[in-house]
Amino acid sequence: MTDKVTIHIDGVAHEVQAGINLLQACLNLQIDMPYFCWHPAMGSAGSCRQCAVMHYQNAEDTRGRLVMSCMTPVMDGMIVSMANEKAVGFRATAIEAIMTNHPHDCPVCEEGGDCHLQDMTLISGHIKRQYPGTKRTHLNQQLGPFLNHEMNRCIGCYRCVRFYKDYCGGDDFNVFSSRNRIYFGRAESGTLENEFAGNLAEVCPTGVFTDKPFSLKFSRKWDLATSPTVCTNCSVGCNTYTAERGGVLRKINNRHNADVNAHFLCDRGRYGYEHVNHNDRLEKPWKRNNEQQKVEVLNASSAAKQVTDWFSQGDTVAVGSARSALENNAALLKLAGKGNFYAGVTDVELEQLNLLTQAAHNLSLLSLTNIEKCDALLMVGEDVTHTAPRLALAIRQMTRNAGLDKAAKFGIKPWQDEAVRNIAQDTRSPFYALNTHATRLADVAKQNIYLPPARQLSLLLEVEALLSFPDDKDIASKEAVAIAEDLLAAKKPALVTGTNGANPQILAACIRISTLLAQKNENSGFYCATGQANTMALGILSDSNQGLDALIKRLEDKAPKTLIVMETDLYRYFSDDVLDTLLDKVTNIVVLDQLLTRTAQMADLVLPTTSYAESHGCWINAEGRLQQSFATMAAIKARLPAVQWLQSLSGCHTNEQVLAWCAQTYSELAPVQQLLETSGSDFVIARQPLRSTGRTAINAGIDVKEYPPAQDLGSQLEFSMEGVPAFRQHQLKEFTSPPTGVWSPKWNSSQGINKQLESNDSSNNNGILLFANKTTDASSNLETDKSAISSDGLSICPNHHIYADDELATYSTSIQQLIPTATATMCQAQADSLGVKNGEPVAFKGKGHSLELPCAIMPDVCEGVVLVPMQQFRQLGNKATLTTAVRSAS
Amino acid sequence: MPELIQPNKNKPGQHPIIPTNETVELSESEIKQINDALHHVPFASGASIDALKIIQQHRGWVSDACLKALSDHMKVSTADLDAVATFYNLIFRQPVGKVVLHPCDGISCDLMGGKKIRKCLSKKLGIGNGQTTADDQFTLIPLPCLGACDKAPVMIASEKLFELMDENSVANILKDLSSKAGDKS
Ligand code: SF4
Ligand code: SF4
Ligand code: FES
Ligand code: FES
Repeated sequence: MTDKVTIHIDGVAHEVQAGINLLQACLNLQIDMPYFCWHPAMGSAGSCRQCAVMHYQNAEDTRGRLVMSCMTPVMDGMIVSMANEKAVGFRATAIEAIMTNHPHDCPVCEEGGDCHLQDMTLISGHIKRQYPGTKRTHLNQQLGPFLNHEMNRCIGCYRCVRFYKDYCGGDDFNVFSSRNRIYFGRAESGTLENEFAGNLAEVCPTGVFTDKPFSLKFSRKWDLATSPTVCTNCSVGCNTYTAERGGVLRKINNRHNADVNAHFLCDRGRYGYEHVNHNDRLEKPWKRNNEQQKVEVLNASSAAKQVTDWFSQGDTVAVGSARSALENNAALLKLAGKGNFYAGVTDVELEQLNLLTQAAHNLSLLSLTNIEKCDALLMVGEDVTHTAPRLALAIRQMTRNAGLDKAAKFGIKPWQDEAVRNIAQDTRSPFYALNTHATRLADVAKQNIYLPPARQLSLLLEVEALLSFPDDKDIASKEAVAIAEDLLAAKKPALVTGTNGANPQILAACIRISTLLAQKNENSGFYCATGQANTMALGILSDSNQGLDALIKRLEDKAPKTLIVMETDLYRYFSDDVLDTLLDKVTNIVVLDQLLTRTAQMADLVLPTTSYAESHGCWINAEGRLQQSFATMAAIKARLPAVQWLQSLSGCHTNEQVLAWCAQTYSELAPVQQLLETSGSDFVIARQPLRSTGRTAINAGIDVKEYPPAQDLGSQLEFSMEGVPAFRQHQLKEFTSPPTGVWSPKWNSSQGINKQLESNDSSNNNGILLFANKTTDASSNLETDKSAISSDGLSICPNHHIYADDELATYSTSIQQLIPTATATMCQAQADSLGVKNGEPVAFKGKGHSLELPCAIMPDVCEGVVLVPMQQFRQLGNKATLTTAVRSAS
Repeated sequence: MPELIQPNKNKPGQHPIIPTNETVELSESEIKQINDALHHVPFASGASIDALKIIQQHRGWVSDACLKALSDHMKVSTADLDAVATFYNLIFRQPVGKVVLHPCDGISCDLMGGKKIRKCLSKKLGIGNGQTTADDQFTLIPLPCLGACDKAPVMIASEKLFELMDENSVANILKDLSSKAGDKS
């Protein structure tokens, strides 16, 4: 239990958490204290002067003095007044002064209706503008595909620069000039480089930074229907709000989950949704008619019957998906049987997943919040900024802990941001980045170590040995000694790695090190980023050795009669040369997918499935956290979730039935039972906000007729405004699903979340941890293959990229603009030894596929390594080789 | 005497050329001075003000290209350097004349007729605040309180404080300064 203190606000005594600031305490108490510059994740700056209250020394003090509540720690017995005339006057004047330069453009401002400044202006009582003078104006900048910039609306709260520079470590954004002319932006127009820039749309309390893709399909917050969803763009599983109107997904906002993403998303997650609205979405079941050389449109029942017919002929093989819900995968597996179910990931990844799931019960898998609390961290084998972006932001915060501790020695609280940063300077908790090349976290690392995989492995073996025998320093490298010392000295050491480096040996070594650490220090922990949003579900469901490479072998050995491929584009993993001939041998190819992928084009029968925004489902993130995502809109056209397409074959007609089967069949999934028991209450929940006027006008832009809302049979949520509105939901304890939006009385903007943080911290809506039960069975099969260390040839390694790697995210036009051109990246020395120059082609071969990429020379790539973009790496496979480095004809 | 930038006769203070995309190389003596400054601080960013002053001392003002060159040399981002440069009134991010006039616009000086002095300067030179004369001799940048209230109204120019000014002294001061400006070049 946290310590409590009693404070008196306007004569009323309240018990609040000790150590926090007065502003936060007031918000926790549901008091509408206005503020701008304070942010729960970034602490206080004291720059906006909006949160002033009168503070009295003692009961005799009648004059008091004005203090900023965000800068004032709560103290036992403290006496303050918010209603004091002077305090009220001060706050009203402060906002009036701010508003002298703020344009009166709410009607054309995209923040309007979701604007913290509007809310605060009203709460502070500044109703009438009196300033007759001119307002200062600014030129805006082009900041890239994600954000609009409208500087005239700036109120100078400094949140943006504190977020971008201090919190995310971006150095291409700052505050310029002084006084009235103060300007927030880049030194010159250009795309914001930081991967978390999109958060500025939510961090900025005004309409300076707004969501640019949203602009193209803008709608006011009160016209948007929203549901709690889980980001499906990577394995972190950030919690999101997905908002729609008229069947079009409009935007994604952060949804606070104290254990995962808390207040921030990455830009892949925020903008990677356009596949939902995409032109390539499949709408109807299609059947290929080879005789007539045409495609027939089927209705739902005949399409389902067709699958049943083919299935009943036997000899069916199924492929599951890392980007589909657990229910869909489980249903497919149930009908196909384990031996005929192949996970939609490479064999290598599956091997790693098996290592991970076997060891998971022995390791303590950290949440992002716990990573932030660590005081020493080793990141191995991949740059998580590109593979699990939000995790990188957590690691960046973790490096601040030594500085926070230093400040704490001076009695400074962690939220006293400026003071902490002043004292901390570059005091950082030890963070080591071990990778083939520079990571985006290089600036906060104690040491960046760039080595080829084989040498990474031998370094890890040294660290492992040192953890058991710390005195054997003379036989180990100084890097290994430093790492081992820091890990052993730390109170909460952590190891972060991932499966995206495609190196099971390294993962096994990391697991062994973490196991050793866990034996020595029960507060130590581990995180392994996996490939896609539901890769972990496949890891739990499927047998080892049943990945896509195994599927190819099976197709080569003997083509099955029917192949059902669900939401996996095989062409992302294998080249045309390999697949075309193999697929030709299969009699019936059934593809269930949302989009017309290359694989779908090869199908004999295509069944259109729903996107995450049109279906309920469970997603298991990299730490084994199972989270439910709720449909935002009803599926349109003939789209159905795979569970429904397959219901007659799997025997499970609803998600609940599939989950019940999972809970019985898989020990790891037994905790899912909790979900089944808790779901269901007497209330229904509204997705649309409560509207007092024009209550059913949301669709009037399309048709003035009022159609009955679609029915949602799978959850308590309604596709209408009927039911308990969002602002009531979090107050009602019987609700087991997260609220359908952030609203709070008088707080229309999502900043209202800051009044709910205390209850969110203790919420049981943060997901179910599947690996929470510790077992003691020793992890097996983790020996290092000694030959893996001694490989001295050239390593071809994947080069991950936040915007290039996730299949669905690349359907977003905003994201596409930031995908770099594919190159074979290497250091100068490596290029010299291969005899290639910048821009010259380099040829590769692997998995029956060959391709050429132009050479790009980059510093900070280790010698002995050539980096290939993840997409090309996947197609070439782990055993790719460099065929020739052809000199261009000059 | 080096060629002056061709003045634009119509609009005082507007330079026809503000190079934007040129690249600049720091001179040896600039680099030496900047390195000295870097030597004295634990973090490169701590030397930002000094480095900007050094550039300005050599070139009269700090162009975008200089900022870029400085950023490459100091390993401090241009955004961070520009944040410092634009914060301070006396780091010039636009070309200025040979002499920068800083008449005081603080309260004491205004009580003692500072406003008249500034008006007079403006009129004599034909430029407003922040502008530069067409012949590149003078730039006018008023500053609040120069710390010499007892001698108000005052002005600083060419590192010299002019005290107890009145409208009559303005002409002489300008004449004096412009001949000095001539010497300088
Ligand atoms: S741009 Fe927004 S976040 Fe930044 S200072 Fe202005 S109002 Fe605050
Ligand atoms: S880190 Fe991953 S889960 Fe989180 S928002 Fe980004 S892509 Fe989505
Ligand atoms: S929130 Fe307290 S001063 Fe801004
Ligand atoms: S007001 Fe001019 S010097 Fe003080």
